[in-house]
Amino acid sequence: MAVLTSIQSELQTVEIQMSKEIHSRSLNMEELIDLQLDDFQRLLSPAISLAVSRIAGPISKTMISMSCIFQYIFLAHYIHGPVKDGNITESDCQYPVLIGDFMFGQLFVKMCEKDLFPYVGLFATVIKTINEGIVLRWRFKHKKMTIKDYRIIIGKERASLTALAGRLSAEVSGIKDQYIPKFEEFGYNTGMAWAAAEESIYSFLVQEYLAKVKTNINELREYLSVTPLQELYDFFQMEISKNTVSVIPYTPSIRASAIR
Amino acid sequence: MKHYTLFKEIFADLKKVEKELDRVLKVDDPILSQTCVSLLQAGGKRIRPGFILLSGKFFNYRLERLLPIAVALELIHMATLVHDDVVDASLTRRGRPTLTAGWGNEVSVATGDYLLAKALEQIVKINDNDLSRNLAQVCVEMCQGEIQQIKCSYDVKQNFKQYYYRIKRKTALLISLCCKMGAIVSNANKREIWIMSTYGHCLGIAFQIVDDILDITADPKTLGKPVGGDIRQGIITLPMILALRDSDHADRLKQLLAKRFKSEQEVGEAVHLIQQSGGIKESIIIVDRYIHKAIKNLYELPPIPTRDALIELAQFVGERSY
Repeated sequence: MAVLTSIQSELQTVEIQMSKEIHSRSLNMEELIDLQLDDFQRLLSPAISLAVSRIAGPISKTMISMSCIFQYIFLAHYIHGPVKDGNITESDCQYPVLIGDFMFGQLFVKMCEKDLFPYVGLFATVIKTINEGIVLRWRFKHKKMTIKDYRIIIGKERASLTALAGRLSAEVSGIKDQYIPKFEEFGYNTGMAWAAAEESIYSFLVQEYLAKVKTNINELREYLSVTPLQELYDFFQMEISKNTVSVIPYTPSIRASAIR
Repeated sequence: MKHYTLFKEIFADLKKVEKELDRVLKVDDPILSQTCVSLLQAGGKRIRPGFILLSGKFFNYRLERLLPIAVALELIHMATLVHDDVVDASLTRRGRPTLTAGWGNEVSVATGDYLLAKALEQIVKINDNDLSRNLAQVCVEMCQGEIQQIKCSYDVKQNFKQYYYRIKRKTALLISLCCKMGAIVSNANKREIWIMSTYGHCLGIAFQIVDDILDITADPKTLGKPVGGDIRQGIITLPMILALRDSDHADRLKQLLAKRFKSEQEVGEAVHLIQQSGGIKESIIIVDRYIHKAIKNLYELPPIPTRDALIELAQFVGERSY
């Protein structure tokens, strides 16, 4: 996280805030499921939102909450992810389904904060898109998937969320309308690179999308100070080169403690 | 008593809710479209929309304001049923194959999540973030109730407080919220909102206790499933808690209920021991108390036919055999 200097403290605030919201007297999540989140899974969704917002100036409480929402949306689907067809036992299904739903609940509560309520419709749309992507991937389970199909799937499953994070964070932070599509593209391309990085057979797509991210940053550099975006890009490259980004999907049986 | 008798006053408007659900669940994705249609075709009593509309009838009833809430709550309810079937690995519901049985877990979980997003779109129409926050909070607590149920399964040391925590979240909160939201949207005052909310809460608690009693005492043919389902799943219900406290064979019952893999003979023995104890009788007394509490405050509301319908409904819950 050291490279994300300009948003480091806000990222911590997001993690602390979510941790407080998730853990209660009646629910200690770590007892029920263990998540092994790599740095991308832990940081990227809120980092896109915060980095974009930082360009406009100090990061507001609203933007911190919005960053939590993006992370909740990611986590809810991520936790539901290991619930697979067929050979999974009843006990393997129970907690991932229920904790995923609990994340959705927390997400709803967060969305109902006064300043965020106007955007509920956009969040609803992105959740629908993500699930269309999940179902589309399911349809290709026993069929040959082309690269084009794969791009559509990860575009829906992951990049739809990061694109919204780029666009909405720019809008809410007061960045001029003319630049907003570029922030949306930045988010989209980052999400595509991220999703491709998680599946080793498609890792060749990572640099293709990172090149697009670089182009987005350079285009914005002419008009705005893009240091936070550059830091995010450098963080991405550094993690990829370290090869620390997990390509092993989370399963309920993996023990670790990543959500603090 | 059939539910359409209870809801006859709002029958036409419930049809509009159904039509709206039908419209909302027309989606482009070919798989999600099929799963959503199959959920609609599976029907359901639409009890939650019914409570919202009935509650509104006491006050300034405006269907256009009540409709998105009724649809949102029914969508959330549908999503939870779909996810429950994954959690319980249920293959049938109301005599029909579940989504899990037909499409598997992955599509079922995605469908549930999709329905939650659809519910959010309805919440946008409500355009009231206090009401929406109420709804969101209930969603969180419902999950906590479900999680608690699984965490506490086979735990024979449970007490009434823990049982109450669970059924309040599992069943009562959503019914209470329906009654409360119907009242709020129809401009009820603070006291009236409290009356409706309390009615829903008490009815929900009574409904769940009756459900738990029937799981032990009902005729399997009338119930539509074998008795002892909770015993098989390790869910410790009120009749069991009371039987464990009072039965002469408490040790044996404890042993049976705590056992994870039981034979049908052992399930039958546990059912018999609970029936023989005073647990059922005492549970019925507790149900009666909640029914009484549900009805009591309704007399403060105007004496319109809706009031009689709600009283009848409460009495029906207390006396139902299925």
